[in-house]
Amino acid sequence: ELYSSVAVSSVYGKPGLKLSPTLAAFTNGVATHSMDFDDTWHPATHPSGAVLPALLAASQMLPPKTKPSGLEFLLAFNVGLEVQGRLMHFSTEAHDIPKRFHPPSVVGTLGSAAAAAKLLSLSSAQCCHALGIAASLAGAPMANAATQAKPLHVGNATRLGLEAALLAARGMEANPLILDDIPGCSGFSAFYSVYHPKPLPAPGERHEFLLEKQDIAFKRFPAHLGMHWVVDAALSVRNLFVHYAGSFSPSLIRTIVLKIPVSKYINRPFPSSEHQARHSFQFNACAALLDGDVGLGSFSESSIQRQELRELLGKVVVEHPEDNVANFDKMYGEVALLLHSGDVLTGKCDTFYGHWRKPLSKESLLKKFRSNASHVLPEEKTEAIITLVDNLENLADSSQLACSL
Amino acid sequence: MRCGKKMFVKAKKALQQHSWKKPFHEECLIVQAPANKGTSAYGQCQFASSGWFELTLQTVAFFLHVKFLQVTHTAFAPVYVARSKVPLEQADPSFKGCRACQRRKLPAPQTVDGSLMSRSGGSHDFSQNLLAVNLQCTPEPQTVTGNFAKVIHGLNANQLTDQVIQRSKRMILDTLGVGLLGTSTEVCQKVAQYSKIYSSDLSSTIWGHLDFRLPPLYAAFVNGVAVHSMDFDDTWHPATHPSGAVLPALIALSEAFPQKKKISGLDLLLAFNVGIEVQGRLLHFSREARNIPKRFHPPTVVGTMGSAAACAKLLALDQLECKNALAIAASYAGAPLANAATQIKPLHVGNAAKHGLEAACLALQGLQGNKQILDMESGMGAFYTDYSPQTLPTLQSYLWLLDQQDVAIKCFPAHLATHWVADAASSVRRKLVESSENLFPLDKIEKIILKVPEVKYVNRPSPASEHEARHSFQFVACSALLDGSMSVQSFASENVHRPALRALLCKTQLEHPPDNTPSFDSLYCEVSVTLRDSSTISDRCTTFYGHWRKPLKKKDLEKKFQSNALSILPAEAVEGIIETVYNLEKLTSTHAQGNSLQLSRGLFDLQA
Repeated sequence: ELYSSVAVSSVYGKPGLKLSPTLAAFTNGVATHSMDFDDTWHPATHPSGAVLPALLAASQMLPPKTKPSGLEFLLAFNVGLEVQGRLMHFSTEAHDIPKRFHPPSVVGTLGSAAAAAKLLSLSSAQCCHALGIAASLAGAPMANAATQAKPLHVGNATRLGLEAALLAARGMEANPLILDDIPGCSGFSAFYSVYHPKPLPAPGERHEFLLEKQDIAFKRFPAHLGMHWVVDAALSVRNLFVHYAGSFSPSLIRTIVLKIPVSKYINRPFPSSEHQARHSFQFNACAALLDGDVGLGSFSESSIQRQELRELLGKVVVEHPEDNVANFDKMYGEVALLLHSGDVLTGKCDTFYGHWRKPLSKESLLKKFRSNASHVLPEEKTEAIITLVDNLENLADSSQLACSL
Repeated sequence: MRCGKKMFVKAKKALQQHSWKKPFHEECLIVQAPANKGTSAYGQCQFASSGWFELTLQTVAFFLHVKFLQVTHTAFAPVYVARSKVPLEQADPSFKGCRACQRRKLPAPQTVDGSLMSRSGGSHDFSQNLLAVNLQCTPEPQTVTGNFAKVIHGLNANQLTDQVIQRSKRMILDTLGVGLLGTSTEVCQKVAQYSKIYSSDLSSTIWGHLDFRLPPLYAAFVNGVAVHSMDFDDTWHPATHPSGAVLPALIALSEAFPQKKKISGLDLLLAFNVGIEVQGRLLHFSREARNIPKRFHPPTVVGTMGSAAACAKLLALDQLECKNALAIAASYAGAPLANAATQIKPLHVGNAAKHGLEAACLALQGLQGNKQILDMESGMGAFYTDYSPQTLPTLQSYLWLLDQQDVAIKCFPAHLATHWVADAASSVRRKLVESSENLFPLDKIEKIILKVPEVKYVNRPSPASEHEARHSFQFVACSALLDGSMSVQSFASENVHRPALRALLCKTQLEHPPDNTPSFDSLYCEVSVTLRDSSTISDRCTTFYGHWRKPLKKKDLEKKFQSNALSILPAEAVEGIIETVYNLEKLTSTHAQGNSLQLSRGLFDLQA
């Protein structure tokens, strides 16, 4: 809140507060990813969090006569998404759950720059430079996932992308070949070990947006996407168990076997903070088994530390079957309960509810939104936002959306 | 027991810092669940080993407070607070475990040195129990990240050697000079305009400007850009531009301190050297870093970390906060090399300075990152293909890298590798002129061959902008041949495009001898000019004047500074800065009127 001159942009949930655009984007971006509750795509990244806050902030920045319409807003948003998707297709590495750089910090920054450039109607040369500038602001290592710093990745992606666009608008120039593969001197290729860029189809011909063919996954509870498979599997085995034993009695369980893909940063036997818990297969499986569901409250301090959960965690053993690939399109989760009596109960999940193969219904999505928004906004405001977004393509002035937050 | 008391005081302070609202007894104690020696790596098993202990503690409500204490104590095992009515001194050395634990046949809690004592009272009521644990006796798990934080936190001014002080003052002077000159560049003007939109909390100077000030973050940014805007700032080995990432952040930050909290010159020097040292040490973690870079531009990788470390030092962050500053900074680090030789390259240094400062400020706010950021391949290792982190020397007799390895200071604003070429080309020109009746035989030149190391981003046969010209072996060679020496003016637009130069460029070729390694410590350049009559004149340069093997003399360093700064500030201010920097370690306050680093007030004083 230090830099609040030219404070025109809104911050989620704080109607009285306005910040300068990039800092508002930063704050809102961090908020978006703070609970790891935002959407996930394939190849893996968190696309919307890196783009939306920047657009909202930018829409409020423009003078009243030139406010972008809802349709223009939607277009810019999709440009941001499309750029991210296309960039990820330049590397086969990107198809799997990441190991080195956190994707939102890599492609998200460029996506945000592209989206902002679109909204601000930059010339084609300026768009090129915006991407080049953004590349110099991209890239955060994976090690900070599952820490308090992870939300900053998305916050910075959206903020720095917006900054890149603003700098380009003022004439700043960067390497026009930043996305090309030039051996001996890395551009965007610096973030990947395998990199094969391809041109997009020219605008004018009917452009096929990646979003048409590949939908997004929405999370039902605030944790890493991988957790959702394991939770669904755990819930199904829990049902079996309850039928078998009459009620959920953990003392009957000898061992819990989790069959999961190999991914170090989400494999945590005993998480000690909420951030770690959101990135722990073991924790999410046990929470689902104990409570019959996983929700916002599952990650509170008291929930993480309770005795029954810790005891269950002690019984967990992890296996990495070869066919379980670390890839959001192909992975599965399996939970097996080995009982003292010798019986084995198993639950498996290939596609959880919310995944792109089994998308959330409109009601479920609205339910999630209402439940989230009601924490900080009164009901009329919540409903107003729902209406605004629903009619976004017909809106004359998209900055209304930002103002309504 | 003495240690326990120290820990108690420390924890009490920490609790107060984290605004523990509940009143707590004076006898509030710190309890640490000891980690068994067999625990595996970070984060995974901390509860496995102390699970039993934690379970027993669960009967009391302090779990809600665990979080606060975990923030201040960085050992793997978590820390808990136990309330006690029994003062420390009455601990019972024959403790065998509280009754409930004895009932459950669990072993008594023990620290590594066996100093844990407790007196059991009543049933499982921990309010009666007194558990004093000696955190300092529990060995700190040895992570590189923790080690860095410890060193950043623990280094003090007494450990600065004279040579380090002298070298760093030279670096500071040079950096200020190039920064002042750089404010006149187009890139810097664009960036200053941009940053003006963030103009509250106007505490920090923009070098060379009277008309506006900026918050520290943006001042660091703008000044950092200025420093690297002409590629005129210092270079180190392994390769990076160390001062530009650190000095602007420190100066901007020091201006934001309130009048009462003065920063002395020695504080500034110490923080500066912490920033430089961290960069050097990080560069040593990878063999890749010894050569001229290909993938990521080093100032954006290690420079951001150095800036975070330096600011953390100046802000006197505690060890945990230092660790977090490093972790947060890592998430800002890394820009690809392709933007070198473009207008964006100066932003690399500006951003390094700014983001490092931001990381330190966020850490001060309590933000946390990965405490093993320097240890992990998915941490700093993400920027290198080979990465082997090591711990720093002990604090007792600290060996500074700057003591062993000096920086190179540039004589003209271009990539360091071109300096060898310029030297060789100048000497070839002298020979040519001598042998041709004191005239430069421009028309008689048939071919120019440059034997240089293979560095793609400095290989530009026909540069079109000043940024490209600064990163071109060919351009510098031809320019030096034509003019006899290189200067700031050599890169002016009219000189970049003059026909004579273009003609020479067409005749220039590069060769990459296999023994010419792309490392600033070992490369050489050879210039051979072949005339129409087939005679060839050549010369080789292995060490140019300004390289660390042949450092600039004091008067030449001053001359460079004066020549740079005089184009922006009046003579008195320029001499004032030289005076101040040379006496930096004796300065009691950089805020003091009249002799501080008046980087923009020069004009003001004159008028007053």
